[in-house]
Amino acid sequence: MATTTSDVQIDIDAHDAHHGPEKGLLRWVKTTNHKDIGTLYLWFAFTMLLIGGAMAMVIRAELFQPGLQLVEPQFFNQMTTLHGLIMVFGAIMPAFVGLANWQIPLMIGAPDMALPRMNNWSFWILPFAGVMLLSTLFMKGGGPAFGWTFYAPLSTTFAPESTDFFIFAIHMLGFSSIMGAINIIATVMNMRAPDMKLMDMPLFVWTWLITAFLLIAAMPVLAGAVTMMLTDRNFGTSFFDAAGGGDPVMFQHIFWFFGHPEVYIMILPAFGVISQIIPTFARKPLFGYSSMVYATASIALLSFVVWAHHMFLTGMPIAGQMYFMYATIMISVPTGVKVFNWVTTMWRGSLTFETPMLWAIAFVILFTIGGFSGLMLGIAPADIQYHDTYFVVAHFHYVLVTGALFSIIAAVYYWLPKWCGRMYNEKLARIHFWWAVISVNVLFFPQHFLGLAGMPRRIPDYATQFADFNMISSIGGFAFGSSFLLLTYIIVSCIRSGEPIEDERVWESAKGLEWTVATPAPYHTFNEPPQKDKILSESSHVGAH
Amino acid sequence: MSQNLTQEERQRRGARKTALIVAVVAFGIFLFTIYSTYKQ
Amino acid sequence: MLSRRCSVCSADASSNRFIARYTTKFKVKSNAIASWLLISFFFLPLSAFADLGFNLPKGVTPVSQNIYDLHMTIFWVCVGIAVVVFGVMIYSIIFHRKSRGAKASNFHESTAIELIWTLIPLGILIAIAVPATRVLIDLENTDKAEMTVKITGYQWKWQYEYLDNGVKFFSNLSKDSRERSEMGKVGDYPDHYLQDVDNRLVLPVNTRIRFLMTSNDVIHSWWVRDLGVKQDANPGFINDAWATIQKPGVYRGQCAELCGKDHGFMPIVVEAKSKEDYAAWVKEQQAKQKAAAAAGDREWSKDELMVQGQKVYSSTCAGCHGVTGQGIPGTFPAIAGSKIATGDVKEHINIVMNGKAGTAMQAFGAQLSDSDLAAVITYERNAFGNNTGDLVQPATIKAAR
Ligand code: HEM
Ligand SMILES: [Cu+2]
Ligand SMILES: [Cu+2]
Repeated sequence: MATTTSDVQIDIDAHDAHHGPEKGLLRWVKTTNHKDIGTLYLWFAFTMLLIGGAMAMVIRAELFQPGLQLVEPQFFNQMTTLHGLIMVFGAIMPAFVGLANWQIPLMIGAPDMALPRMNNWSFWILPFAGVMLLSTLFMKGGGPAFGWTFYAPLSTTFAPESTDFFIFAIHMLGFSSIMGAINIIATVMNMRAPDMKLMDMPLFVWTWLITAFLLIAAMPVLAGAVTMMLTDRNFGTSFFDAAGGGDPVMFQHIFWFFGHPEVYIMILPAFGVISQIIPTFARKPLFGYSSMVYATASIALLSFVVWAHHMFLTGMPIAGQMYFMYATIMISVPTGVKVFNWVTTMWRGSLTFETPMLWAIAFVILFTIGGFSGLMLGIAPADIQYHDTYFVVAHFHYVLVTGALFSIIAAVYYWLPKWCGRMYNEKLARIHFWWAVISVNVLFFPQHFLGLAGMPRRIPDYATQFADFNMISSIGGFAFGSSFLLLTYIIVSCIRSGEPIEDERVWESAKGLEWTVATPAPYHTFNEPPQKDKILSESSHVGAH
Repeated sequence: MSQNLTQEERQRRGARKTALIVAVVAFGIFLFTIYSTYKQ
Repeated sequence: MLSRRCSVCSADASSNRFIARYTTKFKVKSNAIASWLLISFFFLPLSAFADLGFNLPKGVTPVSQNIYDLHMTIFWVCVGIAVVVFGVMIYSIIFHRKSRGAKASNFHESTAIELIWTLIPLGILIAIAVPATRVLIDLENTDKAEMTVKITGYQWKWQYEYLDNGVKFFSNLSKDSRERSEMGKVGDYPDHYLQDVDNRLVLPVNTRIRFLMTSNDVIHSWWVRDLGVKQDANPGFINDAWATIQKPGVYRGQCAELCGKDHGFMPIVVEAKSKEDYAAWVKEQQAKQKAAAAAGDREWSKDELMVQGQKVYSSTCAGCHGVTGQGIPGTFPAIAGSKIATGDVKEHINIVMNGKAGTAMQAFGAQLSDSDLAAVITYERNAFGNNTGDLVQPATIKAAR
């Protein structure tokens, strides 16, 4: 496919000269531009990733050997709690919203997000929420120490005073997510180029649309849960207090009714990213586009009816256990379809292994391993032995770190050259990839063994038979943690001094409307919507007709 | 150009409507969560 | 450091092997082959070293053995699927690469294929669901139990009550584990570090036992792997679980649900004895409890109080207030030099017996006997440099109840 600068782009470039970004710092405070806001989200997420990662280093350092060497148990619990909360709400979710902000308007031929001023709001709430959450560490009695799942009554009657600030931070984070989701739904539903039908949309847009609906349904439930905690703590209600006629297990039902969809909120956009990258480097259209869309939708629907697989041991009646077991393992069917489709997309392609593709392949393999342990965990009687052990820790780190996070890194390598018009250092990027992919397995794979050997999660000290695998895991952890310093260097040096690229397409066989605008992507794009023939010829899922 | 502006304006009007509906749904879910827990 | 215990020597060998595998991996040119090795390597040890701390143990109850079999079945199903899926992927990574001159074909849809790979996994899932359902039903078999033990979780210890014979006691982290787990301690770890207790839960073999779980404060979870029992202990509610232990022995576990600061320090030790030995043990316990009750009716000497007091302090109080009475600044007050422990005796008795609302300080009046309370209060008033010289007698405690 030849790349030509169309009339439209010349027009946009001229336009751009008049309405470029404002100068100075205020540009970032006042901006309503989807690209600026996407950038803000991504830097925020990266900062939180480093902070949450530093906490993980504290955890792994304490667990390096048995005995307490560095931190007291109470502080250790604050670290595990804040690590989880920051990674989920501060790193993974904002990073995907950042990708959505940059990419969705570019991929559907829209000039910007539908509600640009609200977009500014949804971002700027985040830093305040993040700072408030972190500030609890310095309050009397310390920060929240009850796990990212904050089960009552440990998080109500027995929690430190700072918990009220934690609740407020969660409210703000939730507010930001809901506004972001509203914006994405409105953008995708209403702002597409008039000639783009829903089934013409790239998969990244599809998965984000479905994710946005999950957010709309799940985040208010979380907000409800923390609101009830707040009133239980301060206003004498007893939603979750048995002494007052409430039920602590009810808290878990509500939490996981939010929590399980939440984990899919963190993985569906990842599916989208991988579905963009693999066809590009396999030089072949995505296999089974429509089945990918249906699989995503059915995963999303199923995700609302499986929540109690986190609660098999709370004293659920046997019928409940059976139902939640069947529903849970059913999710592996559409999940499997996705994996099969990716593999088949690669089959008889013409593969090259640029950095984004390396990350995508690692994603497919390692995420699938996380899916296997998920399947095992879903078997109710077996979960008796797995629940609340390091086996669960291994499971969710495979799906979230080598799943969600890997896809974000893949996405950044894939689109960064388009965003900033410069190429990253391919050699360093490869070293970074191998460094990270090896260390992450040294870090998390032994945790399966630890869990099976009987080590519970969320403990600061452990029996001596767990010593060896913990030490290996910690060594992997330090190596993986340090790989992010290299990543930081690669990204910063790419933005500041990477080799300039002129080609719109960046990757030889990439398809999609984002590759038809100039490189680097101008401040304003698609003031004129793209036409039907262009939309069709750029769709990565329809063969090269 | 002007035709396109009205086109974009039309789109934005639709988008605001969508956003409003979705926001109301979200708030409804929030209230329902608390209400149904209260009723147990 | 890597080889400290004999039970892990051989585990060591294999961990070294996998580090070696990593290093050679750098030399492997093809990304694909490397990733494949990585996967297959990780799956190997699970089956090959099933009893070296890589895998679940089979356990000593019918339930734990059923779970083990189920676990292995699902595991092998996953390995099978992995081999097929990753195999295809690796194949295309090796043979369908552009550098080998592979030309991309253009197929991108096939309803038949999509249907096949929806239905086959569905079939596999049903095949797993059948045995899983069988084990689940078996597990929830609520046939008549021959004896019942009520288990109550406390921050951070367990209480066991034998409902059939009135035996009742607390089980705390053992003293040497407690001391080794102080911040900054170095040196050898005691045997069964963090998985040892002062009072074991003694149970008879070949007896159908029912456990009732509940909690006094937050949610805990009572877990002994070899029995195949893990069940949450919820405050205000009662859960149950069953076990029939087939082999005498000592089985260790610990709390599995985050329950606050010392969640990692509330182990469980079950000792399974023959029925005769168990009956003898029960007699002994009953006699002990009688003696303890009687002990509350006499005068105690200071030495007696101090010796017993130190025992009670280290099992019950040291978790928060520290082995040396220093507490944790800002979280748990020190006993050494504290206003209460050196001031009015009545206040001291009051806070120990009734706790302090809104804090982790529990009402120990309900947990300890008169003589234990008298002893520990006397100890606190005379240890750690609190040389008040005060004696508290069991009779005083009785009067305060
Ligand atoms: C085939 C798909 C999956 C299945 C069948 C599955 C099943 C399960 C089950 C049964 C548990 C509860 C384990 C326990 O606590 O005993 C669990 C935990 C978890 N899963 Fe998955 N899972 C799947 C995929 C995912 C994905 C895609 C994600 C996220 C991207 C994810 C994230 C998590 C997290 C975060 C937890 C732990 C939550 C906690 O207790 O802190 N899972 N999974
Ligand atoms: Cu789940
Ligand atoms: Cu616990």
